[in-house]
Amino acid sequence: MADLRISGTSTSPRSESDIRVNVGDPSKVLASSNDIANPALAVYYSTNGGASWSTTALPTQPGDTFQADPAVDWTSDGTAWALALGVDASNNIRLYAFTSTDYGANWTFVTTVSGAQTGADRELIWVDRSATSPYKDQVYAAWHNGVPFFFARRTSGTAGTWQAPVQLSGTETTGNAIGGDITTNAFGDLFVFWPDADGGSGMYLRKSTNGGASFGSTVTVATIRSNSRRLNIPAAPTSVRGARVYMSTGAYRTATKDMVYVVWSDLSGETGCTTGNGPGTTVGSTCKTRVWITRSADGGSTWSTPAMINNQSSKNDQFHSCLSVDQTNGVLVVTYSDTVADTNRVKSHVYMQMSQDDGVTWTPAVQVTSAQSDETVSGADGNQYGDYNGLHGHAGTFFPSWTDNRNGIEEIWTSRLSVVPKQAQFILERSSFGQDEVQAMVALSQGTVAPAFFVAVDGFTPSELGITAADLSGTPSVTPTFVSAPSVAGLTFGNPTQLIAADPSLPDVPQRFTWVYPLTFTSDAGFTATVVNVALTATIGSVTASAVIDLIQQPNPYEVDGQTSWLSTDLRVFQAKNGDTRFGAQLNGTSTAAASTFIKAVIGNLNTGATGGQTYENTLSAGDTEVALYPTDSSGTAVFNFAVARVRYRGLLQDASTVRVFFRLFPALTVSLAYDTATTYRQYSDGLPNGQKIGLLGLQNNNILSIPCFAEQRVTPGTTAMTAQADPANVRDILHDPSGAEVVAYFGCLLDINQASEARFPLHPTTDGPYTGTLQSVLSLVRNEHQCLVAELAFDPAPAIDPGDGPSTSDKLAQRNLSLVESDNPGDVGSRRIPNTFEVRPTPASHAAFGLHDEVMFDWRDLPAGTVARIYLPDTGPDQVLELAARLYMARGLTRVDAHTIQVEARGVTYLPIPEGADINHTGLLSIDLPPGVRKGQRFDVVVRQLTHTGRGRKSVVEKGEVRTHASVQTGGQGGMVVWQEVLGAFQVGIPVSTREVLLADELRLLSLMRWILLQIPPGDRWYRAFLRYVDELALRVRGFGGDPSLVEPSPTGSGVPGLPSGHGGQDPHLLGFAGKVSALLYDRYGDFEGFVLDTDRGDMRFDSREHTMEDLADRAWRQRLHVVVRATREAPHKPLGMVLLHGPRPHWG
Amino acid sequence: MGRQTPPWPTLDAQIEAAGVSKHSELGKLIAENQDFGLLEPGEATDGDALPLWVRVMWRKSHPELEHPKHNPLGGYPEVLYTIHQRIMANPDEPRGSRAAAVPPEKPEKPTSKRRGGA
Repeated sequence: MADLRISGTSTSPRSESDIRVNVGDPSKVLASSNDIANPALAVYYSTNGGASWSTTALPTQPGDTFQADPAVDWTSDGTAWALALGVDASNNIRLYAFTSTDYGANWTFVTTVSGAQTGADRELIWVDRSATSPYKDQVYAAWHNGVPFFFARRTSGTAGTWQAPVQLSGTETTGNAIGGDITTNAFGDLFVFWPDADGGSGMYLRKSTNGGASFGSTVTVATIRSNSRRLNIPAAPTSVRGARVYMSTGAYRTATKDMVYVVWSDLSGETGCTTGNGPGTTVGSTCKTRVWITRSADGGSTWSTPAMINNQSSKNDQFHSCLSVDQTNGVLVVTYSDTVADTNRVKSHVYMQMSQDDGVTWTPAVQVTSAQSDETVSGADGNQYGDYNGLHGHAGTFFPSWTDNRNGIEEIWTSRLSVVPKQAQFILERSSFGQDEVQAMVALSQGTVAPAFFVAVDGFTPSELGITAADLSGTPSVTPTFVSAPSVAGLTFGNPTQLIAADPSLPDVPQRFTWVYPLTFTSDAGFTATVVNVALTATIGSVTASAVIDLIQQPNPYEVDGQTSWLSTDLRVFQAKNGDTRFGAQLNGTSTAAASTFIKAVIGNLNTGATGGQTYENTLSAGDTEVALYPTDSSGTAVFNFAVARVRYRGLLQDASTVRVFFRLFPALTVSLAYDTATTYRQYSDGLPNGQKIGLLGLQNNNILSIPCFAEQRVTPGTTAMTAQADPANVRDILHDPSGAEVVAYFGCLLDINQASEARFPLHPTTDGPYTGTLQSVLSLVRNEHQCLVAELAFDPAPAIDPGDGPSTSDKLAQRNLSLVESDNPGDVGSRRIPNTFEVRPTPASHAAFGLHDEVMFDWRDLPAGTVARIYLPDTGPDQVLELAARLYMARGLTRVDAHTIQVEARGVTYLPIPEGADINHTGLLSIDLPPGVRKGQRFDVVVRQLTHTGRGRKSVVEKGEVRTHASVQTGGQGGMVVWQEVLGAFQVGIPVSTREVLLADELRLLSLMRWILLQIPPGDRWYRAFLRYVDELALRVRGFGGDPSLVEPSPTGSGVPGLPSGHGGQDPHLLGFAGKVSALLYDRYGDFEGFVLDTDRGDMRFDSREHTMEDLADRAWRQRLHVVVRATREAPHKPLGMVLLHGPRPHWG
Repeated sequence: MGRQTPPWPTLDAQIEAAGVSKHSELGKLIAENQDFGLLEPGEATDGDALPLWVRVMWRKSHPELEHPKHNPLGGYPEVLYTIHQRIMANPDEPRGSRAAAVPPEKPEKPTSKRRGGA
C-alpha cells in the first residue's frame, strides 16, 4: 500500500506517534500523536485495516493545559487503550490511562497510572496479547520520573485494576532513564528495558516470569556510544530538537527458541564516531548514526555483540528506529528514517528491513515513503521529528507511523506493509493411502495419481531461483531438491510435471511458485506395517518444506476414490423414470413410493447378483454423470435420481456387521467437506451397538448444510422426527472371503431433488422434527444446477474418520462433486459464461491467529487464453481477501470488481485466501467467461480445492476400537512442527462446448426452475445474494443462446417457458425453441408464402414453410408485433413445428 | 581562581528570542523565571534548544528531581521540550503564577468528541 496520511488536514503540527494493530481483529488499527496547537493528544483510528482513518482526541483532565507523549494498544476484548501525559499550568506531569470501547472513536479517562508522581515522562504501553500466556490481557506501562524508571501493570479482565508504580532502575542509572520499552513473549515472560543515556550509557533489562508481580535482577544489555540521549545530526540538530536514542524491543519464544531483541539508533562506532553525540550540522563529517541490534538467545540472560543492520558506506544518518516481531512466525521488521537519499544529509525517507533468521541477517532496505521530509526548512516546527515513531505488525502486515512534513507541516503518516517471507510448503492432494485402495488402483491400471501433491514456494523472485519462461511451458528444469524417506517398495515419486508461477510474465518481484508432482503405485508391497510414514522433504533456495504421507493397512470396510477424490469411483448416480429397468428391477410408477421400492430392489439385486447382466461398472458411468434437476421428461413423466455406493471389505476371519452408508446431498458445489459430526455430518444414534443410527440434516446455526437421503421413504415430517427414520436397505452385514479377497456390497438411495411438492424441512430447522409450519422440499433447498453428494460409511465401533478429514483423506467418505455446464460456440459473452454457486469454510480463528489462512486453489488447467473468472463472495469483502493475498503472492492478477467480487485471469493456478470470521460457510458464485473462439467439441475442466493447514500428530487411526496416534515427526517448520497444507475438499467444473441450438431449451427450463427456487429463499438467507446473482447469470446465458429470459416464469417443474414442454430437453433431444418477433414475411415469385424471418437476440433466423396456417400465424405476429416462440427440431431447425403467440408490445399511452 | 559568572542572557534578549512583548503572558512567564542560579553554569552555553527560562521554570516546579552533575541537560524530561513548543504555540495562555494549578484529585470522566475524518 502506498504511504498514507492518517492525521488529516490540519494547521497544528503533529509529532511523536505510536500505532498498534488489534491482533484479534486486524481490521482495527489505532494510532496517536502529539497535537501541538491543541490541548489533547490526537487519536487516529481505522476500522478497515488501515485503508482509511478517522480522527478524534483524548479527553483532557481538569486543571491540565495539554497532553503529550502518546502510547496505544489493544486488549483482546477489543478495548483500545491509550496512555498520555497530562501537563498542568504548574508544570506537573501525570501519566493517565484512557479506554475506548468503540475502536478508538470515543475515550474515557480510567486512572492516573503514575500515582502521586508529578514529573512523569515518556511512557510506554504494552498489552500481553498472547493466547498462550497465563497473563494474557495484562496491561503494562513504564515511564521515567526524573532519573528513576518506573513500571505499573493492570491485571487482566474487566475487573482488572492498576497496581501501584514500582521502581525498576537502581544505582546503575544515573541519568534520566528515558527511552525504555516493554515486550512479552508467547509464554507470558515480561521484559522491561530502560537506558541510562544521559548517565552511564548502559541499557538495562529486568525480566518477570509472573506477569510483573516481581522482577529478576538487572541485566546489562549493551552500552550506548552517544554521550547524550539525543543524537545531533544535520537532519535534526540538537540546537533545535535532535533525534532521540531509544530502545525498541521484541521477544519471540517457542518450544525451541527464546529470543529477545533490542534495536536502537546510535553512533556508528567507526573512526571519528565513537564518542560525542553525532556529526552535528557538519554534512561532511565521517561520523554517522546507524541502527543497531543486539540479540539474546536465552531469554534475556546474555546478549550478543551489537551489530548494525545496514551500515552504508555513504555519509548519511539513520534515526528513530523501531522494531516489531511478528508473533505468528518470528519475523523481525525494523523501520527507521534515513538521509541516505540526500547528499545534503537533511532530507529523510522511512525505510524497512526484515529478518527471517532471528536478526542475524537482514533484507535490503525498502523505501516506505513516497516523499522526503526535511525538518531543517524554515517554518518547521520546533519539535522537528519529535522523539519517536511507531511500528507494529502481526501475521505479515505491519504498520509504521512517523512524523512527515512533505506538505510543509508536521503530519502523521503510515503505510500498510505486506511482508513476504520466504517459505515453502507442501500441498497434499492425498495425505494417506489405504492398502486395499492401492490394490484396487493397481488392478484398474490407475496406479498413477497426478497431481499427487504440490510444492509451493513464496517470497522469491524468479531470478533468485533461476526460473525462466521456459520452465513454465514444459517440464521445469528448475525444481526443488526432493527427498522421500523411507524408500517404499511399489511407490515412486515422479519429477515435477509442471511449474506454475503466480505471475507467468515473471516480473522480478517476489511471488509464489508451485511445482506439480505425481506419484505412482505399482504394487502394495510397501504396506509393510499397520502405518508406514513416508516423510517428504523439498528444498529450494534457502527454504525447506516437509510433509508426511501415510500408507495404512485398512482391514475395515472402505470406499475407493480412484484418481480424483472429488469423483469417487465407488459412488455413482443415475436417473430412471416409470417403466425403466435397471439391474433387474423395474420402476413402476411416478411416486416416491415407487422410486423407493425400485432403489431397494436395485440394491438387493446388486448384492445378490440378480441384475440381468448389468453390473455396477458397465452400467453406471464413473465419469461425467451428475444428479439432474429435471423433474419430468418431455412427456411429463417424473424423472427420479438415484445414487449407488460400492463398499469394499477384506477380511480373513471376520465379517463386517451392521455396515451403514449415510448419503448426504449438499445444496451446491462445496469444498467444505471436513468431517464434523456437530455440523455437516450430524447423525443420530440410540447409543446401542448396532442399534438405531441414521444420518440427520447437516446444520450450522440453523442453516442446512447437507440433506440425508435414503432408500426408504422419508418419515412424515409432521408426525415423526428424523431420528426415527429407518433405512434398512442401507444397513447390512458384509461377509468376508476366507481367502482374503476383496468383497463388495452395494448401498443406494433416492435423491428426491425433483419432487417439488413433497415438503420436508423448515428452511432453518432448530430441531430434528417433527416439523410443522412452512416446510421446504429438497428441490427448494437446492442452490445450484449441480450438487455435491457424499456417501459416508458408518459402523460400530465408530470408523476412523477424524474430525477435519474429508473425502480426499478418509476412505470412509466418497463424493461426487462435479458440475457440467456447457458453453456455446462462438456466441456472445453471455452464452460463454459458466456460473456455479459454491460454498467454502471460513478460515478457523485458531489458524488465522497464526497467519495460516485457508486458501481456495483454482486450478484453471487448460482453459484457453483470455478466460476470465469472477468470484463473488457476498459474505466478505474483496479488500480483505486482496489484503490477505498480497501478503504472500502479491495478489497476482486479482482485481476488485465491486464490493464483493474479485476478478482474475484464469491462467495456471490462482490462490484466494479465505478470511476468518463468519460462523457459517461462505457462499459464493464462480463465473467463468470463456473467450470467443472456443469450438464445439472442446472440453475444459477446472478444479477448485480448499486448502487448510495441518501438521504432524493430528491424524489417528482406529482399528478395532484401538486408537493410535502417529509418531510425531519433528523436522522443522512452524514452531518445530511439520506444517503443510491439505486439501479439505474439491470440486470440478467441466465445460463442454456445444451450440446454442442444443443448449437453449434446457437453459430455459433451468432458468424457470431456478427462478422458482429463488422465490423460496428469503432475502436474509445466507444463500440469497449468491443465488440471486446466479439466477441473473442464467438469464444472461438464456439471452446468449437466443432466448428471451423475460418470458420465463418461475416453475418448480421448469415449465414456465411458453411454447416448450415442461420436461427435460435431454429426454427429447430433438426439440428447440426460438423466441423473438416476426420481422418479415417471405413470398416467392409466384406470391406464395414460403416462410418468415424471426428477429431474435442472436440475430435474424429464417424459417421455411408453405403452410397457410403458419402464414396466418406469422402474419398476425408480424402485424401485431407479438412475442412468439417458434418450435423446431434440432435436425431441421429452419422448419417450424409450431408457433406460440405470447403477448403483444407494451401499450403506448401517448 | 574564582568561579566565573556565566554569560546568562538578558531578559530582553530572551523575550526578543521568543518573539513576544514583555507584557504578554509569555513575556511575563519569561520574566518570572530568571533565577539562573538554579542552573548549572555550563547550561548557559550548551547550545541546547531548551531556553534557560524554561529550565528555570522546571527546576522551580520540581526541586525534588535530580539533575546529573556531569550532564545537567539530562535532568530535564523530554516532554519539557514539548511543553516549550506548546507555550510558544499558545503565548497568551496563562501559566505559572497566573494560572491556578488544580490537580485532578477527583477527576471526572469526560469522554472525547469525535473530531472528524482524516
